[in-house]
Amino acid sequence: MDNLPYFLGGAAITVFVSLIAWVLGLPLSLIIAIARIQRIPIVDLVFSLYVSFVRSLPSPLLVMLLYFGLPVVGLDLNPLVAGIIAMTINTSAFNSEIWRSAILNFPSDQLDAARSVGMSPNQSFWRIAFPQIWQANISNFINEATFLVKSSPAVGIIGIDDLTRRAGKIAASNYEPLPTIVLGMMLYVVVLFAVSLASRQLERYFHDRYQLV
Amino acid sequence: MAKLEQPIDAAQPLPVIQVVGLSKCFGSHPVLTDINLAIMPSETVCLLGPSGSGKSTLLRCMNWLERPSSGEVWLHGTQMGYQAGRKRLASEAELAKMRTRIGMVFQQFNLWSHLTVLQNVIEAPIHVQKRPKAEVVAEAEHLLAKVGLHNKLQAYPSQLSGGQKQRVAIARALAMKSDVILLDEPTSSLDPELVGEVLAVIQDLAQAGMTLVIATHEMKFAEEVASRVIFLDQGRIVESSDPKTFFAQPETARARQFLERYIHVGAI
Amino acid sequence: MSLRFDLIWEQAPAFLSGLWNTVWICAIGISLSLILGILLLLPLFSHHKVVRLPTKLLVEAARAIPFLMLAYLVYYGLPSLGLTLDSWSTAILTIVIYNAAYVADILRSAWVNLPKGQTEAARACGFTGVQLLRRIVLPQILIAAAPILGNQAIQVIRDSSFLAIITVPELTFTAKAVQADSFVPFESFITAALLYWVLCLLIEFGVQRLEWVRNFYGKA
Ligand SMILES: Nc1ncnc2c1ncn2[C@@H]1O[C@H](COP(=O)(O)OP(=O)(O)O)[C@@H](O)[C@H]1O
Ligand SMILES: [Mg+2]
Repeated sequence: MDNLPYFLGGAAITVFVSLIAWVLGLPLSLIIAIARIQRIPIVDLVFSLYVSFVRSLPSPLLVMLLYFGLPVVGLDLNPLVAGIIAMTINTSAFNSEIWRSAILNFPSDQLDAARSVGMSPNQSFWRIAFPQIWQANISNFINEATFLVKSSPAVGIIGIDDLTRRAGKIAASNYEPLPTIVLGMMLYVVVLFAVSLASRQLERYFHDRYQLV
Repeated sequence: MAKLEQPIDAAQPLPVIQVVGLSKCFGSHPVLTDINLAIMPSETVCLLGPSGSGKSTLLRCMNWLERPSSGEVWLHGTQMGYQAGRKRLASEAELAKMRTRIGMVFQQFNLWSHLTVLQNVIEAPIHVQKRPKAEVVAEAEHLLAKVGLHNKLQAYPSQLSGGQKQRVAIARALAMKSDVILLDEPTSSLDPELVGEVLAVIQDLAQAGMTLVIATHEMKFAEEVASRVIFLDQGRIVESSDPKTFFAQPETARARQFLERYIHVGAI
Repeated sequence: MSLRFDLIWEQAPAFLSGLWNTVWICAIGISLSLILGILLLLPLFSHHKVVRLPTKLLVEAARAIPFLMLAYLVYYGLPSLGLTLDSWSTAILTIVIYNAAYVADILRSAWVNLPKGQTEAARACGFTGVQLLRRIVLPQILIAAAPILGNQAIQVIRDSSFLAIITVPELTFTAKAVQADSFVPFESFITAALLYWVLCLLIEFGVQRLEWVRNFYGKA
């Protein structure tokens, strides 16, 4: 229990890294999804390989690849930046699939209606489709955020002092590792239950407000 | 409270199923009220009545898929749901054993989607009744031939039409060699052109002397095949008579209204 | 700057043995967690609230805990209880604890979505209890959930990479060791990444075939 402030600090770092990666990952994944749907030659192929590759790429490996591997090809990153980029890459692949299927499944009659009042394809996407897709899928995106939190201990490998790393350090030096680990686990449970609670609230809010498709 | 003795009329043969003072409520909502009826061997009883009148619930209470709120169901002298000769509720295993003596055919067929046609039919006889596999398979093939599906033994349910599925379901019920088969609107989810093939199979069973209780909206079929018609309305038995009388001169205003609506619908 | 994949090629046996360790650890871990996940269905569908609710809470909570945290639990926690495992058992036990909760949850939702008529018909035919579960419910929910279970298997393979941190000699650990030995970090990690990719593509391929099976069974 003496360690609680130390643990809470770790939890804050975990949440910080995950949150930044989530926020950066959303627009990145949307760009990937749009590029694939538009079937831009080569770009489409590159991104579809990217998504497939990243979806099977373990986060610890990705973190090490960026931090230890990139300096060899001339790119030196500090650990926090490397960690956040790794997490962003990770989530972008998963989120792009959510965007893609939401865009492909968006009812075309709504777009027809938009076209009938003279909107350009760009306008009808950003003014009609996008707001609805975003609101209808908010809970899917937040669900991805929970996966992000769960894979974030990977950044500990390059020395970022997140919750799991702190729990491991104390457990290794302590005569009673079990309570230490259990406390760390409970903090994760609290964080993720809070996230899924928020997701449910948001979903209900949007659902009550609009008759979502 | 459960009685230990079945109320038997000594002048009559023992009924296959006898329902005594049965009521069923869902929460505070009464669905069946004081149902009394006896199904005699080789009878074909048609349960008629508007949607929501309680036909399904009555059938499901007979084999205790739905537990009655009060009243008794007797099956050839043993009481459904209770330990033999005692007031103690039967265990799930004992109940399951009693259920094997009552076959059931559902409106939605409910064929097991992971099993082939043949496997659907032999599953319960082998694994519940523990009968020898060779004998069960031979019988199942015979039954499936009888319902016209001898060339579909290895097909999966998803590859069959509705009418074929329902005929498999009937064969599955027959394979249990139960004393009686309950059919809950067996043709209601079929395309009109497939209704005939299923009714024909049921009619064959009736003529072969199988005891049947059929909830149905097929008035013409009921008139031709039923040995008795029971008319349910709002959870009560309103009429119970032979089909000729019922269809020609229903006693109650409710039954008359019901028939008028159906004959109109049927005429369209 | 020049990439030295020739040095990686010299280490091919090390990579293959790391890959093989990842494969068999995950295979055993996933199989055992499948069994445990199935067994968890019994309390999850118990008629008694005192059994059902705590199990449900436990399964929910377990799914909120990162893989590495569970690995620490087994790696640091069990020895403090007087139980010391070798690194293989530590790895497998971690996977089992981690994945069983996911499997249980996946199968639970498949069961909830199983048409009610399927079990109803089974009960009408005299099936009850474990027999009903084993012969009617389980085959159907396993078929229905196969694609999701396949994705979950990919997730386990990715997360097994964390085992490198507790020095289990699997693929990521091998990549780390090779890069420390020959100082070829980029080549070493990218090689491991490509091997993970191949492994997951193989599973995805298998899952697609299962999808075909599911379509074949369809809804009865
Ligand atoms: N499981 C249930 N829970 C609550 N009400 C039910 C349930 N099953 C049936 N009911 C109600 O019981 C009444 C009779 O239903 P049912 O027996 O299905 O009628 P029928 O088969 O004649 O159409 C209906 O009002 C229905 O809403
Ligand atoms: Mg009904």
